[in-house]
Amino acid sequence: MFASFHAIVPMLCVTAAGFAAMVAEAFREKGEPMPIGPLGVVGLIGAAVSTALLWDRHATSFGVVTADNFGLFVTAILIVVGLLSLAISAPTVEREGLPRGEYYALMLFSLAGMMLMATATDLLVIFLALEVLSLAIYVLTGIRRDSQMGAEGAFKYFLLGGFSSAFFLYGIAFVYGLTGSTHLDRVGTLMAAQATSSGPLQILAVGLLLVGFAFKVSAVPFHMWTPDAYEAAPPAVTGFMSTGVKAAAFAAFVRVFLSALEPLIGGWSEIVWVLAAATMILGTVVGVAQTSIKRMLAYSSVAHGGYLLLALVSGNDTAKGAVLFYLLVYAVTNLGAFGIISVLETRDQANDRVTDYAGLWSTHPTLALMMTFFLLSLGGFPPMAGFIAKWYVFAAAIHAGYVWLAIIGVLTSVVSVFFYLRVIVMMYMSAPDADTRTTLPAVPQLAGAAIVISALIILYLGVLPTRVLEWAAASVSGII
Amino acid sequence: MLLLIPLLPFIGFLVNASVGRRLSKGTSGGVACAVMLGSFGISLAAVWQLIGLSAESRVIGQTVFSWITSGTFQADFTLRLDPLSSLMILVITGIGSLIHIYSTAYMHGERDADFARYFSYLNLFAAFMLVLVLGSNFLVMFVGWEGVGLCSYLLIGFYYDKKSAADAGKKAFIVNRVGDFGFVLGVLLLWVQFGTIEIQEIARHVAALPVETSFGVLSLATLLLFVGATGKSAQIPLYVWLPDAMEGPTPVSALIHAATMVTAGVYMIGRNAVLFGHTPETLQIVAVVGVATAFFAGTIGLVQHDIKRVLAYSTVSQLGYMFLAMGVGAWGAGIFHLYTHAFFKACLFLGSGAVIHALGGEQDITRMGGLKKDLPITYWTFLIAAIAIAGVPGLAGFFSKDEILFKTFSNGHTVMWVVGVLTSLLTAVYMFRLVFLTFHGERWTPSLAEVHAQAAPAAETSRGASGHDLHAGGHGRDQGGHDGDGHRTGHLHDAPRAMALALIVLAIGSVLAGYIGLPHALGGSNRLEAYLEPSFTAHAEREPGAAAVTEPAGVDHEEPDGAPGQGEGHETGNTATELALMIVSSLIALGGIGTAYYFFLANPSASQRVAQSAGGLRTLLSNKYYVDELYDAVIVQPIKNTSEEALWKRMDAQVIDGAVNGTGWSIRGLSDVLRLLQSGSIRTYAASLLLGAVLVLGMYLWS
Amino acid sequence: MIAVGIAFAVTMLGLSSLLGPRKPTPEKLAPYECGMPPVGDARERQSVKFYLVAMIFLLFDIEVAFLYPWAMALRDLGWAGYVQVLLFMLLLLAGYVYVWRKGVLDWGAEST
Repeated sequence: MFASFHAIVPMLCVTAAGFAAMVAEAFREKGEPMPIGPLGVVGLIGAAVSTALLWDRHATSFGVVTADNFGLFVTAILIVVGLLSLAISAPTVEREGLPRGEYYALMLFSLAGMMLMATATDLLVIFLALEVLSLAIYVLTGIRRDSQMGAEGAFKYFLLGGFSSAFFLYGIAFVYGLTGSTHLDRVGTLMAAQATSSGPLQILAVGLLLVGFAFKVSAVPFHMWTPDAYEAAPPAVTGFMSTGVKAAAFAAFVRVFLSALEPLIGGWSEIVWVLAAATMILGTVVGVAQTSIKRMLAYSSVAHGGYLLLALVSGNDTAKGAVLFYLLVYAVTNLGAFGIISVLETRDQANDRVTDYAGLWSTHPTLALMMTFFLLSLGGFPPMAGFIAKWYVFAAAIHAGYVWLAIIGVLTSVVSVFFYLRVIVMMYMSAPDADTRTTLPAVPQLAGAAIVISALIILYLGVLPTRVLEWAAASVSGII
Repeated sequence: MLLLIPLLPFIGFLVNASVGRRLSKGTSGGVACAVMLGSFGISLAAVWQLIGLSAESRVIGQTVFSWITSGTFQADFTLRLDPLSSLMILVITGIGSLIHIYSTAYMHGERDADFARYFSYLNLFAAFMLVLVLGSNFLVMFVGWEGVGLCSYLLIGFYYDKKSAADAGKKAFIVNRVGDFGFVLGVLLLWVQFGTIEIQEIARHVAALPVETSFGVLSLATLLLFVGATGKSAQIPLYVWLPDAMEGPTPVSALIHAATMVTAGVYMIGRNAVLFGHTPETLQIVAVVGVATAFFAGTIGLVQHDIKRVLAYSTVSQLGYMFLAMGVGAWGAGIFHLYTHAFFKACLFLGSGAVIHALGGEQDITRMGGLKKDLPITYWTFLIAAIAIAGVPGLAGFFSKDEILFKTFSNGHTVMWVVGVLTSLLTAVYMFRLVFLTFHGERWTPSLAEVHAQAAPAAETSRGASGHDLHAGGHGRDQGGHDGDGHRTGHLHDAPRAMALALIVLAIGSVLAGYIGLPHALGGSNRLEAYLEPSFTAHAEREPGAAAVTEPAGVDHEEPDGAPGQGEGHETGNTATELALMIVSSLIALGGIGTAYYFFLANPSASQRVAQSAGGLRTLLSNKYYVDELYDAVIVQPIKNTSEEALWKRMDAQVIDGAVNGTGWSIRGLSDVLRLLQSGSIRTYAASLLLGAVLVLGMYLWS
Repeated sequence: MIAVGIAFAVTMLGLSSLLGPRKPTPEKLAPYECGMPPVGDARERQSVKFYLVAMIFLLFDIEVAFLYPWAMALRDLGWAGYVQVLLFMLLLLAGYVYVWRKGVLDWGAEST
């Protein structure tokens, strides 16, 4: 009887931790310090253990959730994202006086939703997961209730997210109308049978699903919410959502489009080609003009979505492995960078203008060094992990014959270095402002440790990537 | 053992980067020098071992670890020592050690933390550079390639409180990244084509293919690689960063921007000689770009006032020679020039550093003069190096440059030969202009400056002048303590011991370095080229039976392919030609020196007259043909405008600011925000979403 | 066929708005409130508690909608179904405890 639960054990652990956090908050006296963050860590460790046990077992639950290695790899990425996010969140929660129980509970619920999205094999469950993770993220975006910017960003995100969800759901409806099923297995076989005759219904079905996913991975022109939401949220939340949502959404994106809808690749690949090109170009070019580091990283995250789309359009096994590796590297790198932004923020000041980083090297040498690692990795600079990840994506694209797309990718990553470099220039090559020096806070230990660990992971994955690459390559073979 | 060569400097970097700020100058400088010397020692031992092997099997490899293995793709972190890389590591560690030693004196005025920072960057640079030359596949090479770019950027911007230095660093980095774009694409293309990124494997695959007579995949790949080389080695059109790179400390200019990093592009082409040899189309482009850069940079060098900028343009020009050599298939000659150039150009830069050091930051050669008496060591070493670069017979530069010109001529590129010879005339003129203005004549005094300023008003560009002042100010701070007004007119100190040591060793090198490549025409046996030869051919011993020893096309076939001492194989007719050409270029070098003597020492007013009669040309040259302005107008501004105006302000900022409806952005109260939410942005966002959806569906329908 | 349908609908809507007479009077434009003259602005602030309670009501209402079919098929679903529903109830219970403790259900003046 309980065997059918196996595949969902990782997300059950996380959900249980989320509930525990919520109940603990309910019984917390006002002002009483309570270690709610560690509850989440316990849950995530449970999830990690169960993920390890499920590896290679190919368990399924209720026919709609499959813990295949692909899903488990993404789950593992999400666990890493969760652990790092919890660590960098702690100081923010303290400093901003955020409702800690709610904060952690929402983060954990959203993680559970992400895990579900990564392992779901039914379009409706994917939609359910999408909503679970999105709702929690909307609230987290606006969790600073006294911040107008937070309210605005969250509201925009919420409205547009709802709008795009409607597209997605509509797409599912058309799929169901065509095939009589929402299960990816059946959808796949039936679509394959009809692959030759691409009627308008099929186009609507695939097109609308594409729009829904494109919004979640903030592909151009569905990216408009990204900079606002990223800037509005506390940096720790931004780090969490820019990595977790992307990982979960891309996992489902790959699962739906590269397995169930793969027979129709001739139809959608061209569109994704255009989306990828537009996303890389716009993300990079607009990133150049940013003066706020958070916005800069928001556009950089848009551009990174473009590289992932580039891998998606390539569609071969190398590309699927590249997506997984890229997601991992991007997650760790971006969380590290947002962690640094987070610890440099103070109650009154965001300290997120590029000029606020002037002379960081002389005030916080370690932080500056770590930030350099992260930015170089984002820019694809060897021997950081970002280089290997990009190399893989481009190699997959060239292998699949998308030479022009690869050229655009390489070119935009060359241009992108310009804005990463500007921050490095600021940190190393300008004298600190007299008043910035005094307002930059001390670095909390836990967040500092998370940042250092992220940097070590980046270096490790850059210098010795083979093992993880092999895992990634091995986990893509069995996507249903 | 090979691993230790780059590892030692890396350890030095770690030490200085982590605890350097707490160490005294002696300790951190000592550590940095010790690791470099250690690396040099190991390099010597490794090369000794290599030479001990028979000529055909001179390869030492070491796979440090398996870097990336995934599916069909395999890249190990493998180091490979062969004749070509052995020469490079000796140059890097040898000259690198000297420059480290020199730096301990030159940078003495810095604060302890900055001193350690400087040496940590320098050590890191050496480590990356060694990885670059020792890497056996493109990916490892690329690690070094990017790493040296990063260090170069950090070192150019070392005096970061000076805006021009920070800007120059950024410029160098970005221009280099443009080159890297080509490099990465070239490597990816080769990987797709051959399924490997091991340089030797690719060479073996290529050797089995016919020479590509029309423009095909190989030509495209090599052209892309060459784009990378133009970025790193400062060739047209990407040379613009190198002159600005002189904002860095002078020893850095000597090590990175003269002797080692900028030659990486030449090295890379030499490393892939078989590949490039199969693409005559690309080689043609390489040769033309090389000779054009050599000439072009030489003309700019004629009128510059900053001692380091003259040397920078000279470097660009000499690199052009090396590319010319590569382009005409004279791989050995190109690498030979790379090697001799490292000596005399490092010597010149360090000499200029000694001058700048003595004058407390002054870099304008029109404000020097008559330093010969006060700075004898600097003067004599500088003079020797200048003679060497000018191509006077008997010194290093003569042999290598002549070899290139001879190969150009004998391979039938007569026009390029003529341009090359003209460039060597220019070289002699600008080098001796530098020598005469700096060390000979009268000492410059401020009152004289007034006179000078009136005499040549057009020449002083405002940009150049302000740049000098800035630098003088910046450096003045660094030199602190022992700088005073007394230096202007009173007695000057010659180079301190550590600096003198480096200068003297390099000067000796400038004289003697050429003799290992003594050409056949002069009774030598050109042992260097014979030694290097195996690196430019695909190796047969791994693939016996296959016709792997294909000489790349364009390699001139007069060259002996055998062991040293086969000089007799040379035809006498060629020897006569070579001798004739040697005499021509010697005369030209001497003529150039004579010209410089006439215009800048014996008869300075003549140079003013010429300058005035050709005012337009002179302005053009002083402004470096306005290339920076051109790039700014054609590339930089459009990108910036697109980003800021079109994409960011129109599409994002305005939307966010609510400016779409004419309402300004102000957070006065929640009502404002709410109004904004309802009336402005969110609709536009949703409209964009909808538009995107329509586009997606429309595209789908249409396709 | 679809085109004709769309065209027809658009034409009809367009015609009615073009041809229909418009004679607005203040009475006509006023909001309709059960025949009473409207008092005050309709857009006045409501306490957030109304929304909270409405949402919580919705949640527990749906709970019943789930429980009823389960009760009807109790024997067929067996123990697995029982565990699932129990889990569902427990989750809702946790949520209930949370809102309770947070004081959402208190309508007193100042208790949170």
